[in-house]
Amino acid sequence: MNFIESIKMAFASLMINKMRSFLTMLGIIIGISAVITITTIGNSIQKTLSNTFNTLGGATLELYLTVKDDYEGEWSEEEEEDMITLEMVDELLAQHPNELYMSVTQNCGKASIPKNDTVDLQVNMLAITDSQFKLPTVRKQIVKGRAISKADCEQCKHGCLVSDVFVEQYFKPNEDPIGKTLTFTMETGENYHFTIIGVMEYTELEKNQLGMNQIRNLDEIETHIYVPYHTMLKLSGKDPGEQTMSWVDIGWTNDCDVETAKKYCHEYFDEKYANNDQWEVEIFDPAEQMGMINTVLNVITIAISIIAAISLIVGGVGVMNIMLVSILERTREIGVRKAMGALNTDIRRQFVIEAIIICLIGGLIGVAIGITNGFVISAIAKAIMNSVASQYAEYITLTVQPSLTAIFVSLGFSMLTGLAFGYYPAERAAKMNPIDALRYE
Amino acid sequence: MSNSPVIHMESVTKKYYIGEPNELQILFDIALDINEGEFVSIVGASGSGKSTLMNIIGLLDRPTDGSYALSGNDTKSLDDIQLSRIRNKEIGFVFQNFNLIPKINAVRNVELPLLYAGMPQKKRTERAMELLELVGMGDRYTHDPSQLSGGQKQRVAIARAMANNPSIILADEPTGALDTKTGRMVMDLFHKLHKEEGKTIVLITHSPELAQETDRMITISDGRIISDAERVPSLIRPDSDSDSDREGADAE
Ligand SMILES: Nc1ncnc2c1ncn2[C@@H]1O[C@H](COP(=O)(O)OP(=O)(O)OP(=O)(O)O)[C@@H](O)[C@H]1O
Ligand SMILES: [Mg+2]
Repeated sequence: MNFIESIKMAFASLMINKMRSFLTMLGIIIGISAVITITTIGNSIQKTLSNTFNTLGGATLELYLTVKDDYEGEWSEEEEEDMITLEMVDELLAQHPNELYMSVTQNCGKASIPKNDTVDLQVNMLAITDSQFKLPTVRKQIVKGRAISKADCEQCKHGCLVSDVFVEQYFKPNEDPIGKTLTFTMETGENYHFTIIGVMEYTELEKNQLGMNQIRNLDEIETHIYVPYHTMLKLSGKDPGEQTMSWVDIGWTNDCDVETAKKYCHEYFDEKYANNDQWEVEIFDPAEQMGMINTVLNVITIAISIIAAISLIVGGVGVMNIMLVSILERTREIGVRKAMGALNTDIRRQFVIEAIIICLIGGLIGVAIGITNGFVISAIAKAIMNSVASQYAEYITLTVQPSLTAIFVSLGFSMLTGLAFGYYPAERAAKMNPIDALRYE
Repeated sequence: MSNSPVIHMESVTKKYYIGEPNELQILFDIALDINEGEFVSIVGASGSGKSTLMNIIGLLDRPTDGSYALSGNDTKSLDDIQLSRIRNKEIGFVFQNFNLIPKINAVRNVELPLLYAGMPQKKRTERAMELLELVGMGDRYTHDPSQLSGGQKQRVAIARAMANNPSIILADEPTGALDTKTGRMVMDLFHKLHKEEGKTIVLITHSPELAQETDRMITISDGRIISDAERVPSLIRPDSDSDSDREGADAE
């Protein structure tokens, strides 16, 4: 008798007593669905966190100055000469032109722009590098014109990026802002001229933060103006090469990955600071923070899953119990089968497969229920978030991600449960003496 | 081959509760030879040990002592697997209480010995239907045992016993649960198998009339063979095969 026949036979005999088969499965269904629900939730939280984290700007390395571990001298503030210079960063980037980029946002203070004779618009000047708008971390979209380019920085051009809100404030409804030159009066009293090269759109959250909903008069809102970083340095009288900073954000492109980026930065700065007694450059990877959260989540998920898996043992005992009853009930059948020439292995296989199939079907139903639970819980979470913290909703993409490993492991585990708890009853059936089985009343 | 008996027993005994104070001996010193193609009936009082002997013949049980050779092979040295194979291929059982497997239909029941012989599904079903046709159950393929009358069940059981075309058919009171007419029909089937296919048939019965129809009648009393008689030729029963066959079919 071959394997497929045994499986068919097992299905047939499970179909005879559907209600009992289902009740037997129930323990397994509950156990597996609990495991899958928990792992789906754990996995989804991880996925959601990491998505959110990337949205909020996690995908850069932060390089900062720190005191060397083995420094024994007197602690002092970092001197100008210890600091990271823009020249160094440019040199580093030049070594890996298609892999690394610098991500800088420097607040240059407030400026005012005369709108008409009576109203001056207040703006915040932000100096950025060309890469800033390429980042997935910046969700602002250029809705008109273009972003600041590498050439804008390198050649210290006077182009600027304004916001949709500013366009509303400053221009007439159908006026094209691109190409218009604005005069910025800085707090220091200097006047700068920048030509608008593009318009970007604020997100809803940013509009909230700007106070769009509270402030009645549109002209009172302080919007952001983006200008090329190098241009701003030049205007403030510094040579880009001499610009120093105590930290810098380095990003990486798709041609590179975080580990390689770290390696490049270490290689470069370890050499640069090899002769510095007190200072060295340290790399902070925000993703590592994520890694820790993930580890904690994993531990919790696994711990709860194990507890849920224990319920599988209870389910398995249920299966064993029913199998023993069923075998007792079918003693005569076993006797007849043996009289007709069934081998012990045939009988054993028949009952083991029955037990495994019960557990496997229970496992499959459990997986289906577990995944469904994941989606239901995510829908509930979404509803709660929308009503409680709607302003953050756009940053948090709830992702339901059932854990494939968990699904395969639990299906495997349920089959194993069937095998473990089905084997003993099946062995008992197989070992029955044919005549005793036939005479069984 | 025909000279040496298919079934050869020497001083076979069967005991239960061996070594306990209530030790019980059922069979005493049984010596029995049955030749190929013989139709033998075993009679005796209830509890005399007929079924016990039959189960030993059919390799469902082992004797406590003595030797039993089937087709010239000593059965003592056979292991479980070999015993199963012989039961499957060489022996067809018909039980007093039918012993069909409930909840599976007539065809599937008849298929059982073929299943364990390793015949593929399609051929199995074909053969099973052929056999059911042969015992006049061609219109009851898909019926469960619970949907069949006693006579119909016994005919399904006979079809099942014949599935692997065994040389020996062992029938333990096959007509015991049937009325005279249905019993007649079942009996006619055995005669047919014996005459047309040359099967060796061992039949246990309580009915002296049925026993009279066989070649040889063995009487057991308290676990011993007390008589073993060839049939008296003058007692050949009237040839009523075809009539009773039709009656049986009508009765359904
Ligand atoms: N497993 C067993 N344990 C103990 N005693 C048994 C066992 N099997 C059979 N017996 C005993 O053996 C004796 C013979 O039983 P058996 O079934 O062979 O009788 P039988 O001649 O077939 O009777 P009947 O005509 O009523 O079927 C009985 O007394 C029975 O109690
Ligand atoms: Mg009996």
